[in-house]
Amino acid sequence: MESLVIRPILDGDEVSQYSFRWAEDPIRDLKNAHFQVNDIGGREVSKQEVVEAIDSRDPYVVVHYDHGDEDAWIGNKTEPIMTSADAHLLSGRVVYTMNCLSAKTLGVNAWKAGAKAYVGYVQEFAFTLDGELLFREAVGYGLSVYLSGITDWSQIKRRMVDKFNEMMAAATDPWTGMWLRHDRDALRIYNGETPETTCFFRKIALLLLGKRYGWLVGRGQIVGFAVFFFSFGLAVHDFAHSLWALGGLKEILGLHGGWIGFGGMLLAFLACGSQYLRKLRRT
Amino acid sequence: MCPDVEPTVKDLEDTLLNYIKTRPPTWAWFLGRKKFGRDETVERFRKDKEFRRLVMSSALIKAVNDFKV
Repeated sequence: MESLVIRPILDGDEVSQYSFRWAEDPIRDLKNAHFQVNDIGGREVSKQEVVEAIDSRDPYVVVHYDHGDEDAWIGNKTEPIMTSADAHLLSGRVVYTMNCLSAKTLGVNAWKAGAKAYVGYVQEFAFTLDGELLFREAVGYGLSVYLSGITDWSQIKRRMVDKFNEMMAAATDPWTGMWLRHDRDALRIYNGETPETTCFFRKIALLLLGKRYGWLVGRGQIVGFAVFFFSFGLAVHDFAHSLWALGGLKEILGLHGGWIGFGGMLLAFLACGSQYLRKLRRT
Repeated sequence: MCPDVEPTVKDLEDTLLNYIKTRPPTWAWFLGRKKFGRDETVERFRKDKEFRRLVMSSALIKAVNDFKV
């Protein structure tokens, strides 16, 4: 199977020289697991190179070790090499990153677009020179576990957290321990867990549809569902109120065309909704 | 605990600042894209409220974490 490891070094940037070296661990693990490794890096990398490598090699595992942002992987100083607009390129792949913040937005969108897993961080990644090897071992551990044959990402997350804890216990200075804890708590593995949200409508969708499908429904559809049910409730209430004014409860319980119409609308909505959910399940 | 020895936030701040000041000159660490040496960390800790808050909350969370059973 194919894999793609992206480990750029930005001109004059010290951090990416560390991440370049650290990425030797995933390369070693991938080779040991008999993956073909397409290694791009050691210099600035363009977006075109990354897109071409994904299109031509169709890698099952994509690794990025360098700077990141909430909605970007960095590979050069001019343009991001991956953003949410390119999330479809990560569909069907295991995505393993050691960069800052990208699990916050890009990771969520990659996961929604069908990435098998997205490993990343929701905070800026920190490390100390005194404890460099401890950080390096902890960040690469998840891929190593995955390649050893464990495919349950929630289990891999637990193993990674345990590894960070082990490294914290091994740290000889509190400053290193403090930032290992910071990185451990910023780690996210989508598929092993679901993203957090502050959006009211998303929370309702998660409540009604569950963690997986609640995230797959688009924002416009959530708002559409909410507006439909609010409007439907309002119309039913007004119709019932008019009947109550005409003849009380007896009138309300009578067989009116309005009730049949409302029933038909509800059935049609549920039929469309269930078909939509079935389609989501297939994605 | 006797009130006059009860630790305060200021104690934590002073302790952290003293810890950083006593690091060797080659001491360095990275946060995101930025490299911090000893003197730069001291300066940022003193002048940048957000940075001080991040370091102090990280130290507190670590302390809480250390006592978890």
